[in-house]
Amino acid sequence: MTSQPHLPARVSGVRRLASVIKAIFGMPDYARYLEQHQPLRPGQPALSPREHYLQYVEHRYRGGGLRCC
Amino acid sequence: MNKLLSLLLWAGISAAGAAGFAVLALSRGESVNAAWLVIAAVSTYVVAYRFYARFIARRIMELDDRRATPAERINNGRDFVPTNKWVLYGHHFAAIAGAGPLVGPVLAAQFGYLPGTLWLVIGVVLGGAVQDFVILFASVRRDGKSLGQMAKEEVNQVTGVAAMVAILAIMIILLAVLALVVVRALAQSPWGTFTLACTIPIALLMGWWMRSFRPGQTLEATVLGVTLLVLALVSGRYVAQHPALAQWFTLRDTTLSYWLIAYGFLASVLPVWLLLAPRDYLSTFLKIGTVVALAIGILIVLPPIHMPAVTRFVDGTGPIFAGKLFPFAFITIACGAISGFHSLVASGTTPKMVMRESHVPLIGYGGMLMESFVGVMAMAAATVLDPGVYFAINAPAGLLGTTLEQASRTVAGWGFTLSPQQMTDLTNAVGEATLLSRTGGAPSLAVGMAYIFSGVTARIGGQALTALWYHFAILFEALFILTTVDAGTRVGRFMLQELGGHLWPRFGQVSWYPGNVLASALIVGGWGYFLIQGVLDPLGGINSLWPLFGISNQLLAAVALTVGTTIIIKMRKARYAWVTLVPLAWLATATITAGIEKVFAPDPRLGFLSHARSLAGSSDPQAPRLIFNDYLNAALAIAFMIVVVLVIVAAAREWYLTLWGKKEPVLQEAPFVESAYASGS
Repeated sequence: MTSQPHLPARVSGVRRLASVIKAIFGMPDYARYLEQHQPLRPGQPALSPREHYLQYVEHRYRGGGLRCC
Repeated sequence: MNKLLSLLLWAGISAAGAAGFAVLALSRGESVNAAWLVIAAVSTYVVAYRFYARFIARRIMELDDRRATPAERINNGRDFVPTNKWVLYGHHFAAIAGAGPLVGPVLAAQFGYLPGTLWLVIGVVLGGAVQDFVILFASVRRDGKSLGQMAKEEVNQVTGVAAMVAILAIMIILLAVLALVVVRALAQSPWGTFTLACTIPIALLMGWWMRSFRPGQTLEATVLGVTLLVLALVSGRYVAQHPALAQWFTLRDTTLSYWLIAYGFLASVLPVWLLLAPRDYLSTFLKIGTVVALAIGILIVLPPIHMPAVTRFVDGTGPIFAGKLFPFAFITIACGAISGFHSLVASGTTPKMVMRESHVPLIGYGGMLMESFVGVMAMAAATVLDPGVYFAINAPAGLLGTTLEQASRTVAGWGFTLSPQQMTDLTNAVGEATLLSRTGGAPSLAVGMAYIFSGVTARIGGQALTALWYHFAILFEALFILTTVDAGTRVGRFMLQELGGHLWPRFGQVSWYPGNVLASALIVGGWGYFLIQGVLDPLGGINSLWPLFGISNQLLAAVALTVGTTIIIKMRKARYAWVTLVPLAWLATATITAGIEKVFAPDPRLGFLSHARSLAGSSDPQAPRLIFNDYLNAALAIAFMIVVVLVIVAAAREWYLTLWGKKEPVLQEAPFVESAYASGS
């Protein structure tokens, strides 16, 4: 499920753009999480989109969400 | 042939930069185009990045792409994530950029456009960008450790604890002064207050959308949020014109302060998905969008600068803040040239995402160059205003007077002209009740930005839309200041719980609700106290709080540069230690001079202690409170200076022991692991 070859090129281009924007904004990226889940944590069930979102933001703003001046 | 081409290219860029500075420095009397500011700054950045950052990377750091970064080794798909260098550049810039580089240069424009611009450009190239770069590098080599941890491990235990306590105290002053900027911008402004108030329900809606309605659909929710925000901005005009509604949103500065304090507390105790995360997405979107738009706007409109290169206020009599050019221009500009706070980001989220060591110069050094560029644009936006208008907006009522006629006379006394009619026209054009003494920097920046943006819309063929652009600019500043306020309160709460946990372990458990509420209340109470102090200050608050913020921020930078110098010396690169030692020496000198002047200067507008003495025996019922605040501010400034001197002395001892061979230097770097990227895979 790495590059989703069955999607037309334009769709995967849009996805890639979404992924870049999410990374710049520090937003959770569920599609990317799913891609990486299997190799990183083999055998463990993946989180649902909602669980993933909540866990991600909770972790991010624990102290790392510092905005500067 | 290639070599010749490259030589010509770099000579050309250098010449363009030199020409830019020559025009800026030599023009007397006639107005200079703001484009020269941009040309001078950008050419210098490009040359510095190409030559100086590369020099540091090669000679000191010896960056090595065969060495796996923590993002590659630890890669947990959460905070340790190898990230494309341009994406990380954007992410890092979004994290370091805030209101500081916008407000500081606007305030420092009281000295004229030249001193501030020179410091923004020289300061970043030799100081700020070097600091961010060295700390990011050090943290990447140490598994993404924080500045406090590195201070503890590489210097000593005392330095680590001192750094932690200093960071907490600095954060409280930062949050107070930024909240003060928002209060000054929104007081008595129903349009601005309504728009900012709307961001709260919009954020709650986005929070619900991303958690429950369409889980994880953050982009979709952000597009929705931005659309609603534009709607709120446009409808703000009708709210301001509607008698009953306008009354609701016309708030006094003290009332607004209490609302902000309540908001900060709620944002800290509520779950992050509900308010904090959606607000952060909105403000990041607006921040990046507006910075890009402002750069394009300046290039399209090419506005002439009306402020003189240097004003008479370099002698220390400036109405916006007291104090001479040295050291106060440096303390006031702060973030746009060098910001201690960046060392926290450069040793926080960013180092855990660096994919290869060779990306560190772009992200660390290059990211800070962009921050300085934001400062240069803010300087341009403030100085395209007529100086009379600029001073009428930024001078506190106590000096300026409260009517247009008084203001016009006062400004004439300063050697500038301000016709009451011109001021009335401008006030009507931006859709505000008054622009006199709207201190804090944000309103004058917004007028300047509105001037530039409305120049673009007028050129495209539409109306000037000045009022809409003014309130857009206010929203832009207020929104991301509030994001700093709520994220900062939360970060402060965790730091306080961590520190307090050493004394009372229960308090240190972040999931314990009473501890959470208590720590949040303490942090909010801390910055809230200084905020109220600033709001009630007859001299406008900015005069005492902004220098205090500048001093604390620059002193944190001194701590970061001290840690950097220690690491360079322990890497056996002492012959290049001047790279961090020179900015450290300058910073320590400027900041400690400023600190001593703020505490002990005989002029009551400048020195806290002489101000307290001037109030002694006064019959004013407010006097005892003002005197107490003077002593509090003086104590804080002294405490900051003592901490920094302690850190520098502790580090200097390490430098001496290492350099004279009395101690074997032991670096706490993570062990070398071969990178998989290097082999081309």
